[in-house]
Amino acid sequence: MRIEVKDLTYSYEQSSKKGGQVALDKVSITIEEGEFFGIIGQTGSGKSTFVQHLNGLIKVEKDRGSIKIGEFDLTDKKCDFKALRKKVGMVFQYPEHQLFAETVFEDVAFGLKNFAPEMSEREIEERVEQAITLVGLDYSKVKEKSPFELSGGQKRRVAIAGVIVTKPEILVLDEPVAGLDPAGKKDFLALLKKLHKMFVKTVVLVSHDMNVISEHCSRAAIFSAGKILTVGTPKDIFANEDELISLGLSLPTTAFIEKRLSHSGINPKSNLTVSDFIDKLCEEFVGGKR
Amino acid sequence: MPLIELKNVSFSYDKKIDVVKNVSLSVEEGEYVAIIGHNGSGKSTLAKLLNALVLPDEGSVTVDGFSSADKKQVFDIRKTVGVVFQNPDNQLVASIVEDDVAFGPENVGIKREEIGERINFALSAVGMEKFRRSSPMHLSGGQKQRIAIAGVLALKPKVLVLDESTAMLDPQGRKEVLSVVERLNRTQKVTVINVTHYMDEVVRADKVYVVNDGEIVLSGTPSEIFKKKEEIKACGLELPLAAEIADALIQRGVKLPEGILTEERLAEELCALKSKI
Repeated sequence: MRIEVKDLTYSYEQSSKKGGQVALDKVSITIEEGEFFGIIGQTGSGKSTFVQHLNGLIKVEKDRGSIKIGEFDLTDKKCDFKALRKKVGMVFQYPEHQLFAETVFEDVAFGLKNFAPEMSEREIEERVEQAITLVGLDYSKVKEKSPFELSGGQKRRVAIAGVIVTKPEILVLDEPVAGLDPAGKKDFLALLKKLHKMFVKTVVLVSHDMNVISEHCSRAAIFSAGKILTVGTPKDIFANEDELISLGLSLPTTAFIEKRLSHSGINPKSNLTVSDFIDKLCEEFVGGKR
Repeated sequence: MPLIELKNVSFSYDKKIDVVKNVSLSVEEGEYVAIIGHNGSGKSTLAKLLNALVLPDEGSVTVDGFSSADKKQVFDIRKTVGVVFQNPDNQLVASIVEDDVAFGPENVGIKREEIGERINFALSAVGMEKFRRSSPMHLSGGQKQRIAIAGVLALKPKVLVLDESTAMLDPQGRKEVLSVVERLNRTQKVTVINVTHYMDEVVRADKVYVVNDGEIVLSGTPSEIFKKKEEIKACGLELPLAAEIADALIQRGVKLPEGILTEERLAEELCALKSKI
């Protein structure tokens, strides 16, 4: 499913009144099926408002642009938002705060029961077991536990299981690694990559961590004051250091070093992932391509 | 005498499992200390012990001569050690910045005239004087966190504890907060204890404690700590990315010196290497 957003405008204060601060200002972007798409921007730049539109949590107002996701036209009054939300899973910042049920099983099953009331108990159980196993938890050990007995990292996994249990084709994540320790972050990103190879076709990831964007995203967009300033590969969007800094952002480690090296006439021209960066530097310094 | 001294401190929330186990550590006045550890390692509880938000079941916590064992002195400890938490939105209480900063001093009964001075001092220390009459609601995350720090500074604490205070901020916000804290440490001699997941924040510290499973498993300067790669990884932590890259380059024959921890240093060393070729 392709995501097509055209001239999307939104303000939190009543839009009819003048002077209401605009959270999104004529945002247009197309995200193709299969992309691992990053979104960066300062706090308050409109990133979260934008992604909340993608599963209809915030609805497009009349004459304020359009969103099409695959067959779904989100501006259409007849749009089946329930069906849409089954296909577009949303993981918020601190998803563990959304846990509520008495057992892990019930928590993960909730979305499924909601979206697929016709599903048999057995089928539900199978799907829940799959989802919990997929996020790296031991199903038989955790299913009867209260989600609140689990550690922070485990809670977050349960929350993700509750989203992927409907097998969404598009997974939208708003700052999913904030507050995780380095190992937890690594595991989480590995999980995302795994899901991206399975039923999740498109990942849209909002992050303040520039290293995550340069390492994992095929393309990314920079948001500023409700507008998209630049869209492109990590190489493109991290090309202009001064602009990034003026926007409250920074360079990923690889881009930072490349930039400093270029002043000394070294141009490794990596794609900014760590492994490619190391390869290119070795060519430069040890010589001889392998 | 150290400013903060923990001797054989143990603590449990449920009286069954100790989340802090027999920890001893001391912090000198003016030091910049980093405490790192994975989620659930007990580092936040350790931070709460430092300002007597929780009290040890065993062992002793002494801060600037006050003992947490004496109920009357607990309040003095809390005045000496200010804590800034993770979420700025949970820490701001008033609808105007200056009221928010005044909240602490008012609470401990500081005279009205002096409160004005304290607000001036605290807001200028974090570079937020201009926002004195603004509403915190309209500030960015980094600005809110600076106001939270100002609220703590208004009590003139000797120690500032940051409990993952930059985790929710964008890169600019993080930079703002860290540079304010660094300046306070340098110019006002405020002792800083930074509890964090960001390995690049650790590099700046004078001393690092690594907490795992409620115990301090490693301590030393950043370069000493990050030499122990395997132990660091076993604790669910990582080296700073620049250090990882430097390591990989060395292993593949690039002649870099050992002990590179920051991207600035790595870039410098690579440029220097280039000029030698």
